[in-house]
Amino acid sequence: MVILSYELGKIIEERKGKEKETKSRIHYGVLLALLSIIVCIMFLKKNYYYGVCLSIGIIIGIIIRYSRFCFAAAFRNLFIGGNTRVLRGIILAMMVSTVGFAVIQSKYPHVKGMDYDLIPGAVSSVGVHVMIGAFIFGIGMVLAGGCASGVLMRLGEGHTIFLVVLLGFIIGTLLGAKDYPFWYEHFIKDAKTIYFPEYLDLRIVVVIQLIVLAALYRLALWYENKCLNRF
Amino acid sequence: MSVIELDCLSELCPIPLLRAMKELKKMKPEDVLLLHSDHSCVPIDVEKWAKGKNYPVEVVELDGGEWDIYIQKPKKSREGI
Amino acid sequence: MTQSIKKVLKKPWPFWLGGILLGLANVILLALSGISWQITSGFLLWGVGVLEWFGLDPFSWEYFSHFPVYYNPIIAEGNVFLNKYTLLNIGVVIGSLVATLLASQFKLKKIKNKKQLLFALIGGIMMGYGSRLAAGCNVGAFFSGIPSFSLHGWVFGAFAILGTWVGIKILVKNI
Repeated sequence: MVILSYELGKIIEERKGKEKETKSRIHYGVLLALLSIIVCIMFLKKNYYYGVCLSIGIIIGIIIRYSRFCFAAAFRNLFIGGNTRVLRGIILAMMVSTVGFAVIQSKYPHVKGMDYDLIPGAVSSVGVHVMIGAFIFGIGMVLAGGCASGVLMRLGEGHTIFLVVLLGFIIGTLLGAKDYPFWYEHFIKDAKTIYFPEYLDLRIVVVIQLIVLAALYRLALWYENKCLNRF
Repeated sequence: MSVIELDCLSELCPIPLLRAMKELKKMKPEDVLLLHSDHSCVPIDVEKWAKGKNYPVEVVELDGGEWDIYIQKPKKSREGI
Repeated sequence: MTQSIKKVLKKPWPFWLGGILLGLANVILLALSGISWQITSGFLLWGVGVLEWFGLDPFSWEYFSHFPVYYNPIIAEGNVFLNKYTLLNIGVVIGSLVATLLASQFKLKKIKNKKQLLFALIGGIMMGYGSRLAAGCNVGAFFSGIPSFSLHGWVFGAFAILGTWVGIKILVKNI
């Protein structure tokens, strides 16, 4: 911990003195929260799935804002600064989800030949299309200053620029959907879906995945310490 | 010892941090950089980076989602930024 | 007393707490709604809705026939603007707004200049397009794909990192 120099401390005190007391907006937050709870309950009564999605969406929004989880920063900070705080948070989250998703999936065992979209969760084919898609996504994420979750979180903070990013997203997803037949014909049609529990018992997959994620967590921590000269 | 102000309002990550890094390279030892931002990630990231470099740093939260981040370039500069 | 409440509400949560809670939230979401956290499906549906306003029929595109599990129910009910996927997105915005207000940190931030606008638009379009190829964004394909035990989630992560590196190179030249 480096002590502030005397002069720096003086400047800060001067400026602090000039600032007014920070205004509280807590009442607005509470009001909106109450309103949201009411709307969620209404939805839950009318259409259960809508109510669930709205409610958990709100909870997720609160979690990512309070945790300052910018998913784009998780990747970007690997190359600027080396701060892996968000990445490690995401890895931890994926470890928890790994266990939870496994429990859920074990109730809906996948039968060979079944549509992979019926598996609870996000199972999809893998191949060049995913590589290209993710690569383009990565570039776009840095140029825009945020990703899809960033759009949602930052709009809640008042960043109007993300309305533009959202517009871009809408245009891009429509263009991508329109172009899909091209990609399907050349890359997706013959792409396999590699769903790990098809090859190994689900419980073994869980253990291996947790070990791999834990190792990545350690790696991220080591990388951060190296970048921030903490050794 | 002079204070250099960087107005990063409405700027998104990673631009404020990149600008701060660039500016600190140019500054003389003991000069202070005052970064003004309204993006909630910036104070956390910049503070962590500055602490890693052992630069004195202080974050002051202002009204309405704005932050002042003070970074001082120390007397003896370590190996380049 | 109010001062300390204000302070507590401003404080960011430790990353491990946020991580664990977020992981749990995704599990509960999947368990109760049948879908894991995803974002870009909702954006696409809004786009479809806008096109339908203009008299077009995007659901006739081949794309949607490849994902019947996702889109058939919506086509049947005609609820393109309000459905599981879009309500999930709306929820996240509201949640973030609530959290920001509780922390008294809300501020309407202007668009800085034309360059920022251009980068935002181009970046958004690239992300939207890429998400159709990769069957999701970094939440839908990566964050939810890996716990779903699908290889595509890992591949997404690896190549998104590559794309990030390239993106930074481009950004730094244009600051």
